[in-house]
Amino acid sequence: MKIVEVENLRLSYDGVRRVLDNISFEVSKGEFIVILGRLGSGKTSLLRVLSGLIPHVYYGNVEGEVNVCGKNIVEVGAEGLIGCVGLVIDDPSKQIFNLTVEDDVAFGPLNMGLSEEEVLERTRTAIKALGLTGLEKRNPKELSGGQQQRVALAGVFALRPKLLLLDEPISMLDPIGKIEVLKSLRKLNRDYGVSCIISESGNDLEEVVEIASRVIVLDKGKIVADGEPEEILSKNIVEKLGFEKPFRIKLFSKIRRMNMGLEDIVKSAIINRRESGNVTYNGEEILNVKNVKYAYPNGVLALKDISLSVYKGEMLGIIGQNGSGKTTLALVMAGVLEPQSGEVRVYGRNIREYSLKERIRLVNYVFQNPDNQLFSETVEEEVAFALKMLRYPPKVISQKVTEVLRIFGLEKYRKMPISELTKDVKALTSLASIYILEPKVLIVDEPTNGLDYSSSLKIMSILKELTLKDKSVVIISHNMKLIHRFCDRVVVIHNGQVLLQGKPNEVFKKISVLRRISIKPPPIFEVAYELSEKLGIDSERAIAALELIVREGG
Amino acid sequence: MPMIFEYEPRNTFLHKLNPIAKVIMLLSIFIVLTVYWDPRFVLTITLISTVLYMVSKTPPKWLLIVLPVTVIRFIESLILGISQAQGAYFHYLPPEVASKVIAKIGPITIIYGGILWTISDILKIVSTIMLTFSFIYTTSLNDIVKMLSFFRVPRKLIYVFVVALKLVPDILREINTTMIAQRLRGWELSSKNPIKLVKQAIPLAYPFLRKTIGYVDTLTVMAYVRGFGASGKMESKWKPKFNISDYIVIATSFIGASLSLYYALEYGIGLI
Repeated sequence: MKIVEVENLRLSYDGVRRVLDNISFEVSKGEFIVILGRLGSGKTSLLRVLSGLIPHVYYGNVEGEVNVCGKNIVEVGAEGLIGCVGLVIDDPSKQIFNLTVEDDVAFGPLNMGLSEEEVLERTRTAIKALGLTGLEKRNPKELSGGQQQRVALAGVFALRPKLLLLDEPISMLDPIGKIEVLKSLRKLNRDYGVSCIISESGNDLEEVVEIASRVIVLDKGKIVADGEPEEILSKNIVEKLGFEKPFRIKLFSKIRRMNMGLEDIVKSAIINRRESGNVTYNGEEILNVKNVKYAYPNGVLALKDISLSVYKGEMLGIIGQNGSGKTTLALVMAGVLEPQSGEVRVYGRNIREYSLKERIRLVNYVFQNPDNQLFSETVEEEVAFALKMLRYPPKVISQKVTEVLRIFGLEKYRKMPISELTKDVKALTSLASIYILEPKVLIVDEPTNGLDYSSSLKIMSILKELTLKDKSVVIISHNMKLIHRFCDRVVVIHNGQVLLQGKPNEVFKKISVLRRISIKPPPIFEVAYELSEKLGIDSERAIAALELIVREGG
Repeated sequence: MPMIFEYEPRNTFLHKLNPIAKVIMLLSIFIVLTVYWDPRFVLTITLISTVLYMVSKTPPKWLLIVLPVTVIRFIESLILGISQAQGAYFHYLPPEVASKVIAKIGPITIIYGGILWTISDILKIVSTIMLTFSFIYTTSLNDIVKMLSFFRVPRKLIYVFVVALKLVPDILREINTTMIAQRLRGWELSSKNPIKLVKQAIPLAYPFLRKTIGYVDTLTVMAYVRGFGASGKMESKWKPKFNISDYIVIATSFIGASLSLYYALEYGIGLI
């Protein structure tokens, strides 16, 4: 039975440029499809068409034939697809309307005008299916990101859709949230037969692909590959489009080529192991957090006796679950929040003793959402804003803006209106607009959130380059692969305390500790852990061997 | 922690009340409040409103936040009260009492009737705010949707109401974040000149506005895909369930409002 039938779909917003071009595919009942594409490849537009939002709620010129549950979307719109299609977006907070879980799940059925009994039955079933039993009376805002997204899913599932459209539903979640949501999706797909189409920009490809039955690769509005996950992801086109192949697929394709057993390869790789050079920093302490405690006005203790240092020219990664205290710690480090006890010292002096204008040139913080910062007409004005506030002479401002735009690769966007920028350029502009103050320590909260893999790499590379100019960069992120690849040190925060800290390899190899707090290390560490257990070798040696195999083919 | 203008699930008497009973009670009080002008009677209603506010455990902070706006309304009431400088405006107060001069400030004569009117008006504003806040704090969005659908309010109107109720607390959260973000770029509200203050506030206003528009857009779409798109086509099958306290509240409200209206309109009790 076909749930979706798309034939020669063409979509344009301005009547000229095609956002979707000659798209044809079908979705059968029970399929789990990943739509893989970079930012601007047309993924969200495709989901909006399938949900009937385009052309009924969002403007768009749709050509071709699109039938969902046997209904033509142009004729029925989203209204006619309720009970057939459910849509879930990346940010759970925007999908949750009510202040208890059960109220929110009941919201959709209630809007459908169903009887009280039917509403209750659907609510109970959805809550059970999404593993939310026991949380019915809780305020969704007090739940973790993963739980919130499951509440959003339950709200949609209560409408009894045959097809779930998921627009990067795990991109904003912490590692445990990602696992929880994907597990729930797998359950809805397998146990309830709900077909799923999930869009993915590449950062969570590793996790998403594990439950997919099919991958469709979208590039510039066209389908460039369509097939089973392993077949598609082992093709070179995936890397050509700027995605990183999932580690396991990369590893197994190398092994297949080497025609040897995995254990033998690892053993031989250990023998041929080369010591990889460790990145070092010169050791000058810039910022010191000492025994900091911070409680919110409602009494919640966010930080419990935290101590750590930031050294000159290092890139420090801070990881932990949502609600572990990472952002609070960052705001305390930047002097925005004043701890109840303990202190943050910058160059040996309490940060709160500096004036605001001094402070922002010592330690500064870049928000996760660039829209909180950006307000000027153009990129140039945006980047110049902070210096204008500090009353720098226009000539100096102009010189500094030119230099910062060059560092962040924004020269060609100089005169471009902020409203026309893509997500990645917005993120860079927001970084540049803080970096122009030349803070000694730059704290960046989830810089790659909502970006595709290649944009994420670009941003991380630019931030890494700043450390070569003796700036210290602190990255808060859920993206373990990027943290592993770019950071010199990692601090793991759990329940407002520092649980682990050290070099990435030292931290990520402590798999059992990380698993206990539901942090999923980069896949190489997981495979190495399994191997070390099996072969009885040191996990660090297994990691080095696997790195060698993947990099050089053993 | 709930934001201002946000429902919080609790176990108070008002929280447990059926939304229809709650609306009937509030409407009754509002009707009586509109009719009464005698400060003694209005003060009684203000006291009832205060009790309801306290019983519902609505955060007192909410009142402090709206204080600046309320003060402007108080000033407006004062001006209107003072401008009623003729005893003839008051039909129920004895003319010698209504026109009794309390003070003369230049060409302005302040009479007793005008002062009574001002006091009542201010008390009415306070009562209305407290009752509205108590209602918002104790009534979930779903209860509001059910109740409005039950009263056959057009679904488009319910939709606007629901989106607005969801929007206000979320937007307040965003303002806070935007303010911190701009302060980290050297922005400060640091002038006593109101024009300069407005100019300085632009960095806050613009991202806030842009975010609000984007947010409203997403919110609208998400509500739409969860059934709000089915405008006007579906009838509510919700059947309200009342318990004994709901019946008591409905009966008391109905009887209280009817008696008050009868005595006010027939004998002028509570009027000035």
